[in-house]
Amino acid sequence: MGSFVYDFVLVTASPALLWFRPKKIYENENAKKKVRGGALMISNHNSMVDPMYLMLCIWYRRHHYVCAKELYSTPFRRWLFTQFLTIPIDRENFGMSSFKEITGRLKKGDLCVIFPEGHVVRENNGERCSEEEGGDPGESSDESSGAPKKELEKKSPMLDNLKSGMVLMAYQSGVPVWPVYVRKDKGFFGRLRIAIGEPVDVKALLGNMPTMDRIEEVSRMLGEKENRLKALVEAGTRGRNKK
Amino acid sequence: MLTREEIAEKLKEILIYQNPGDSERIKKGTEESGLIDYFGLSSVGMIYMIIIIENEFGVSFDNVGMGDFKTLGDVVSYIENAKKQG
Repeated sequence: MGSFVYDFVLVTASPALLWFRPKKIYENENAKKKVRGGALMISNHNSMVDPMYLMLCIWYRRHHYVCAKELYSTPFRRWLFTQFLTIPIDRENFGMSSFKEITGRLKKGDLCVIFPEGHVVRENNGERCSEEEGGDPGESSDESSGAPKKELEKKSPMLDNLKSGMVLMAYQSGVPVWPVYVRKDKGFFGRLRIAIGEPVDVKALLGNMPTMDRIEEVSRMLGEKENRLKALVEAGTRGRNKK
Repeated sequence: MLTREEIAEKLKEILIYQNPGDSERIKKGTEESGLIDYFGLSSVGMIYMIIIIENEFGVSFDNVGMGDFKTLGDVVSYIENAKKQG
C-alpha cells in the first residue's frame, strides 16, 4: 500500500514538480552511473523539502528516508510518512531494531537516504546554522505558522561531525555510500543544484572487523567528500553568476 | 553456561578489539564501570559492540535501546537473562 501511494503521488505530481527539478553536477564519470541495487545515500540537510529534491534527482528509485520518530507525532503524520516509506528512529535512545530495519532494507536492494548531520542545518550565503538539537523536525519547517522560531546555533561553514552510524549501516549491509550535496539558495527562477559524488565502497575500505578508529576515519573521509561536493556546486553557481 | 565473570571478560575482549588503544584501561574495568564515561563508547560504538555480541553470544538485542545500558554489568545481565530464556 505504501509503495502504491508513493508511486501515485510521484507520477501525478511530477509534471508540476518539473519546475523544481534540480540541476545535477557530477563529481566524475563514476558518479554518473545510475544508482542500482542496495545503496545508502547521504546528504546535507538544508530544509524539510530536501527529500523532495532528492527524489526528483534520483527519480527512478523509491527512496526510504531515515527520519526522527518525532515526525510520527500524530496518527495522520504516522500514516502519511509510512506511505512515503520512511524509517523512523529514536535519536535519544537508538534501538537495534531500527538499525536492523535499515540494514535489512539495504540488503534487500533498497535505496535508503540518511542525513548524517542528524538535524536540519540551514544554509544561507555560505553561513550554516543548526536548529536546536532534539527539537521536533516536523515543526522546524513550519515557518509560516507563527510558531516561535527555534534558536539557531552558528555552525562551521564546512560539514563536520557526520554521525558515523551511516558507515556502520553501509558496512553491515555491504552496500555503497552515495554522497550528494544539495545547494538550497537558488533564487526564484534559478534551478536548485545537487552535486552527486562517486559511490564509496565502505566494505572494501574497512576490510574485516574494523576498529572504531577506522570507522570514525571513514566517516571523516565521507565528510570531506561532502565538503568537496559543496565546493563543486558552489564553483558551478559562481561560474553561472559571472556569465 | 557462561558465568557472569566469563561474560564480562568476553565483553572486555570485544571492547579491546573495538578500541585496541585503550586495552589497559578496559582490562581494569569492572561491572560497575560506565559504558560511556569509563569505556568511552559513543552511541555508534555501542551499536558496533552489540553487533559483535549478537554474533558471539547468539542473543538478540532487538527490543532494547542503546540508552538502556549504562554499565558493563547491565549488558552482562541482559546476556545472562537472554541465555537463560533460551
